[in-house]
Amino acid sequence: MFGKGILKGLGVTAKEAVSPRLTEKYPEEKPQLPARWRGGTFALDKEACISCGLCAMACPNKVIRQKFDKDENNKKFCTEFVMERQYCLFCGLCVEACPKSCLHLTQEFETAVYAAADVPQDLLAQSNMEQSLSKYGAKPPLPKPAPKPVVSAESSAKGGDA
Amino acid sequence: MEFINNIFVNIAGLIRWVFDWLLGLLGLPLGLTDVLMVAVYWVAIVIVCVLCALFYVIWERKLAGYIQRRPGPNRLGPNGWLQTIGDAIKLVMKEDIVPDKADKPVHLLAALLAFVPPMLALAAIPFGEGMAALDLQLGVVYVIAVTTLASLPVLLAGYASNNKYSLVGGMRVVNQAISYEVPQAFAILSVIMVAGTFNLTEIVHFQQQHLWLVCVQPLAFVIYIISAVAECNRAPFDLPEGESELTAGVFTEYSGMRYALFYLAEYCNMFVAAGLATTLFLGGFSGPFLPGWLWFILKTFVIMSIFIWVRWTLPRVRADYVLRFCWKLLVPLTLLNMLVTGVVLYILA
Amino acid sequence: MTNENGRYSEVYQLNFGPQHPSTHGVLHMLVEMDGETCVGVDTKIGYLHRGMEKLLESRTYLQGLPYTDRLDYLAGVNNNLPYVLAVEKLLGVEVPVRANLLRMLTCEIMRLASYMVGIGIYIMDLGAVSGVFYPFQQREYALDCMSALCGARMTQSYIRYGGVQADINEEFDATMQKLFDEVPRFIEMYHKLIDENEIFLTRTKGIGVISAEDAMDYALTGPNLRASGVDYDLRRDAPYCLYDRFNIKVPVLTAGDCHARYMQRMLECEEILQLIKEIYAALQAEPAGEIMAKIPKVLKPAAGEAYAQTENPKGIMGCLVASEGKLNPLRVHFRRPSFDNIAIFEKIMPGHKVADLVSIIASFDIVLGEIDG
Repeated sequence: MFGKGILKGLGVTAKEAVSPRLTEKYPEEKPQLPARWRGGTFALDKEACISCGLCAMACPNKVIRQKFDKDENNKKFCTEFVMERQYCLFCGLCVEACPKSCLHLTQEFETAVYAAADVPQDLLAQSNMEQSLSKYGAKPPLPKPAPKPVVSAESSAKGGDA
Repeated sequence: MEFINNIFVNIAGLIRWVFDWLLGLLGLPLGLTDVLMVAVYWVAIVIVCVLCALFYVIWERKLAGYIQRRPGPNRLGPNGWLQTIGDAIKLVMKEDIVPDKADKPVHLLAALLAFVPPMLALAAIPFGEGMAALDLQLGVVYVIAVTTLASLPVLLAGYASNNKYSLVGGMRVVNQAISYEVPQAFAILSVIMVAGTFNLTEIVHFQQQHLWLVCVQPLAFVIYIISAVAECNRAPFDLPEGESELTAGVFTEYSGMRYALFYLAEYCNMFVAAGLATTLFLGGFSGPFLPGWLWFILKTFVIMSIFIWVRWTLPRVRADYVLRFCWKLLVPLTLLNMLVTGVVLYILA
Repeated sequence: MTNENGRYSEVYQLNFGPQHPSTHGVLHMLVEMDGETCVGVDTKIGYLHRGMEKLLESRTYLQGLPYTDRLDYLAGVNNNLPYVLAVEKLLGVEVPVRANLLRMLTCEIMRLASYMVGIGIYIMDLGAVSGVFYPFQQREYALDCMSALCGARMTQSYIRYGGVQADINEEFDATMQKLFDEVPRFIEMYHKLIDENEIFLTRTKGIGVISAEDAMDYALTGPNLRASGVDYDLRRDAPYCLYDRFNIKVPVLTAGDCHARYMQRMLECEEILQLIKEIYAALQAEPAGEIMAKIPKVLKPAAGEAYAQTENPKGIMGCLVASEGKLNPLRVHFRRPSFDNIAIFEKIMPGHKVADLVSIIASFDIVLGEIDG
């Protein structure tokens, strides 16, 4: 019968019309991010950082801006550690490159800010492993970020990456 | 129940009584009542047009959303039902852009005239018992004639835009409209043959006494729906506004309130086609328990939902197939339908 | 010019794009039209050129990897693979079995995702807008798998020199189970929705016919080639990674028109799902082990040239890496499948109407990121 294909198609659409909606209604429902999710803001464990600069060398896009200085014991420490997030690819190479696993990507995905000057993230200015995002208006502090580093524990990737 | 059934007729009667009394008070001839009632009916039809546009714009978007497994507009108003008001306000606030070399009076006239044919057609369609503004003896012929005019404002729009895509789109619209008039008219003619009258209210009475004409003329119903979809330039026959091909086609140079007028007129045209389909095939305002005009609203709702469902499922038909389909398939089918109807009626008589 | 009726008619030029809802990106075609029929096509590309090959020369090998994702952005890992394989040839490193299986698994998942986009957008370009929502929903399941595995949905940079970035975990297993449950139902539903639709058939059958000889002359690859009757799939005929372990079934259609290209992708979706199941089973049967070979911390591949090619969702992608033994490559060149695929437009488009041009472009499933590089 001519038109059978069209009727079959209409039947499929009718069935879909009465099926439950699949939309995740943001902001009432927040997305469930996987544990290894790569994105969001950066967090630095300042006590553990040895100022080696490997993260900046691993970055493809020159996102990390660091300045070092030597203190009385001739030990290197970091005077500036800024992530220029407007250039960031969120590839996670910096997190993998860190030998002390002190650089992390958090699960905070609502990172939009009102001023372009707020986009670069000064990692030394934040309190250890917690940060408040925006200077504009009150924003609640971030939930504790996922403690595991992005690269899973069983991989021996640390030895292989540059 | 009788009261609710006749509520609009009673309101019209009340207004007529008020006018009679006023004219009697002022000493003017009572024939003027009829003239004033025309204005009242016209206001009522405008209200119907506006309400149907308001409702069906959001219903189309919601149903399209449901087909696509998403909720459609759901922020403005309870569950999104006030979205059209937001859209209308937005379109009104937009800048009125008219191309420099366009024919400015015609550009404006096309947008304004878009509303005229559906309003004229709605005057003759009976919304309930005794609720046709113009209860014409040749109601069907009048409605067909007036709906043919609906393609002219689109042609004017295409011409006035001074844009080759719009012109091509406008000409396609006329092409499509006049071609699909033929199967539409023949499908309606088969119904007339069975019902025996051109008067729309009489056809509904016929269906009340016997049975819905869709059972007697299913093929005519299907062909009428297909032709109505083509007449209203809806998918799958929406080549004139073919989005992926000629940008916005015939309405490329229309933005803001001018576009809103065409957009709303399209829904009014669809409502006229749905109203006619309800009256001729689905029994119009007849039905148990509920008042007649409520049945009419429900039945047109079903037909409009069919239009929306078809639009969001089927791909677009190519321009030459549109005409090929009409002349090589629909017209022979309708002629065959009329022949069979005639033979059967002759045998039964 | 005067046509056969003795009337004077002119050929006019129509700009298809670069801003156009149906050109799959910023493709600009200057179409010469005689009335409604196309008589000539001039394709102009470069609107999305980002200087990727030059960019890779000023980055180290590992830094350059996230850039390669952005070539065919619909299937990120598939673009990592030829670059990594070419460098591994220069490094002379042997990739562990588990890493190879993971590479194949992720490539096939993203291939499925890319096909979903291809068929969905094709139906949308033909006018049935709802047809795009269903494949995109299924693609979400595939992207969820990749997200659970490496943390990124689109541009994964998952494949590394000597292996892969991370091993699977329970979250990944859960998402894979969802994928296996949902995709067969979707394929069946989509067949019912589209296959016998008369309007769809009139718009795709007999449009843009490519013969097998033309397909090979113009270096067509991927599903476009297989839909024209040429039985060539790199995974089966010149296997890389561990594809020779698996039985790759390759459907081949002979019509060579838009309908065949569409059906080719739908049929391949089923085969890909089957292959994913087999690779996943093999992965779970494999004992837990290394996912990365031992490579030096500072990558300096041997001087020389290496070329590696893989079967991408759009066709055969190849990567030539020329190295001088330094930290950065001397020159990288990608053989991009979409770039070669669209060369045939000038041959098949003349003679078709405007609506068919849209159908033809969409049936090729091109990605502008790949064409412009």
